[in-house]
Amino acid sequence: MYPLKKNLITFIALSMPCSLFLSQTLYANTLDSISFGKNSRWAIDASTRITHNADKNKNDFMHVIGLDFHNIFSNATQDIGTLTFQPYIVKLNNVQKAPFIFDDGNDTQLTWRIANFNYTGLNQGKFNIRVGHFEIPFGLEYQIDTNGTLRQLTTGDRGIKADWGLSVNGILPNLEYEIALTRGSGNEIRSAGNPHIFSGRVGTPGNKNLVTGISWFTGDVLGGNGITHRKKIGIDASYYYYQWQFMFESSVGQTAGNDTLNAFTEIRWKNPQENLSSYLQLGYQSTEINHEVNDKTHSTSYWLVGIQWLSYQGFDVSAQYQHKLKDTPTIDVDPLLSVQLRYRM
Amino acid sequence: MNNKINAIILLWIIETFTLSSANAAFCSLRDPISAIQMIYEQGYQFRSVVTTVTEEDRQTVRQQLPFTIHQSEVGKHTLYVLYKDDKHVGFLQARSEWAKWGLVEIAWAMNVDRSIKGFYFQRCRSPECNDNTIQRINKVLKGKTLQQLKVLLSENGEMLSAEGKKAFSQTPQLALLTLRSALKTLAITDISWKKDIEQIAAVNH
Repeated sequence: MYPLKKNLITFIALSMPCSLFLSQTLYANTLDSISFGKNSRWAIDASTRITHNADKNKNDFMHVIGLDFHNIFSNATQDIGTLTFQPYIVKLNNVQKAPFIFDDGNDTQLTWRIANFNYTGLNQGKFNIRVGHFEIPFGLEYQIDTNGTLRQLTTGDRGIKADWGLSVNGILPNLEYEIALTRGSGNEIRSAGNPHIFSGRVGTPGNKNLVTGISWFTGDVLGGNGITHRKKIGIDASYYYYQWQFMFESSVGQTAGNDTLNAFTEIRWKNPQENLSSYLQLGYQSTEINHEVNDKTHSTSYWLVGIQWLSYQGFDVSAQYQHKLKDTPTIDVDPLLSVQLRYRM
Repeated sequence: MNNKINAIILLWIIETFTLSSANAAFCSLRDPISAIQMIYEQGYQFRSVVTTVTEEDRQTVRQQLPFTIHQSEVGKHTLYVLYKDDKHVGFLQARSEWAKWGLVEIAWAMNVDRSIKGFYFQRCRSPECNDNTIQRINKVLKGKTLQQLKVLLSENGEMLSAEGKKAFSQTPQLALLTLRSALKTLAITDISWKKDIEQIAAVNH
C-alpha cells in the first residue's frame, strides 16, 4: 500500500475512539453550545536541514513541510478536549543512515509528529485520556518540545520518539503524570512481531524552577532490524536559574538482553528576550556487547554545542556540532555539523 | 507584465514576513491547570475562548495606559472563563512579561467585574518569585480595578508612584513588572474579548 494512504488510514483508525468520546460528550450537552473552529489555531511549518559528516565528507539533506493544527473543543461551561494534528511531508536527499520508515536516503514520506485527541472533560486537567500519536512519556524529552528542532535530548537511547496508542495524563497540585500503552511501531501502526511499549513519567510540577521525575519504558520496539526488546528506568532533573537551564537524565536497563547505562546533561543559556539560545550537551552510553557470549562492555560518549535564533516573524535558524569524546568499533559517533532554517506562518 | 508580477510577489513576501508568527509548535501549548488549582481550588470548571488580538487592539491599550503590549503579542490568545455550579464566576488569562532574566509568565485571575482576584507565577526563573513575594503582591492587588491599579504607577508608567512605593517596599522591581502585567491584562481582556464577555454576561443574567 502506498505509504501516504497507509498513514492516513492509521490516523483515521486511531481517531475513531476519540470521535466516540466526542460524540458522547456532544450528546450529553447541547449541540448548540459546542464551540468548534473559533478555538482553533493553525500554521504551516517548513524547514530545510543540511548535515555534514566531517569524517566521510558527505552531506545529508532533509526538507520538511507540514501543518500544525490545534483546536480546543468546549461546551457551555467547560473544555472537553484538545485536538493536535501535525502531518508533515519529509523529503530526504542523499541521507546515509535513513530512519527505517524511509525506503532509502532519497525517499519521501508522510510522517506524524503529534496527532492526538486529549479528552480533558473528566476532572479539569487532573485526569485526561489521550488517544492517537504522541510523545513517549519518558525523561527530559517528554517535557521539552523538540519536534522539528535540531536540538534533541535522549530519544536516541530508546529508539522511538512518538508512538500510536492511549495514555492517561494529568496535573495535580504537586504532581504531573502521563502513563501510556502504545503500539511500539513509531510513525505507522504496524503489528509485525507484535511491538508494544508501556511507558510513563511521574514528576514534580513543570512550572517550578526545580523539576524532577522518574520514568519507565518497557516493551518491544519495531526498528529497521525488526523487534528489539528494551526496558529502562530513569530519573531526570531540570533546574532554572535566571537565564540558565541545567538538565540531567540517567537511565539503566536492557536492550535485547544486554545491560545499558545512559547519562545525559545539558547546560542552556537564553538571552532575556529568549529569541537567542545556546547549549552544550554531554552524552554517555555504556552497553554490554553480547551478554550470552562474554561480559564485555563498550562505552561511548560525545559532546555537542548548538545555537538557535528565533525571529518574531517566524524564522528559526539553528546550528549544532557533535563530536565524539570516546567511541568503540561497534558504535560510531561521527562528527556532525548540522544547520537548519525553519519558517512558520 | 513581468514587473507587475514581480511587484505582487514582492508585496506578498513583505506582508508574509512582517506578520507576527509564533515559533513554538502548538503541541507545546499548556492550559494553566496549576494556576487554576492554586487560585480557584476545588469545584470549578473552565472553558477556553480563543480570540485574535489585533494591532488595533494594541493601539487601544495605549489609549488607556502609558504603555501597550508587545508587537509580538498580536495574534491568537486564550481567555479562560471560570464557572462554579454552571454559574460564571470569573476569568483567567496567562501573560508573558520580559524581565532582565527572561520571560515571566503570570496567570491572572479576574472577577466578573474585572477586578483582580489573584495571580500565580506560572514561570519565573528568579528566586525572588517565591510564595512570600506572591502573597505580598497579591495582598495589594487583590480586588482592585484597572483605575485603582493605575494609581500605584507613575504617570509615564515606568516606575511606581509614591503610593506604589509605599505599598511595595520589598521587591519593588518585581512588583512593578507584576503591576504593569495586571494593567495590560485587564485592558486587553476588555478590548479583545469584548463581544465574548458581553455574551457571557447576557447568559449569566
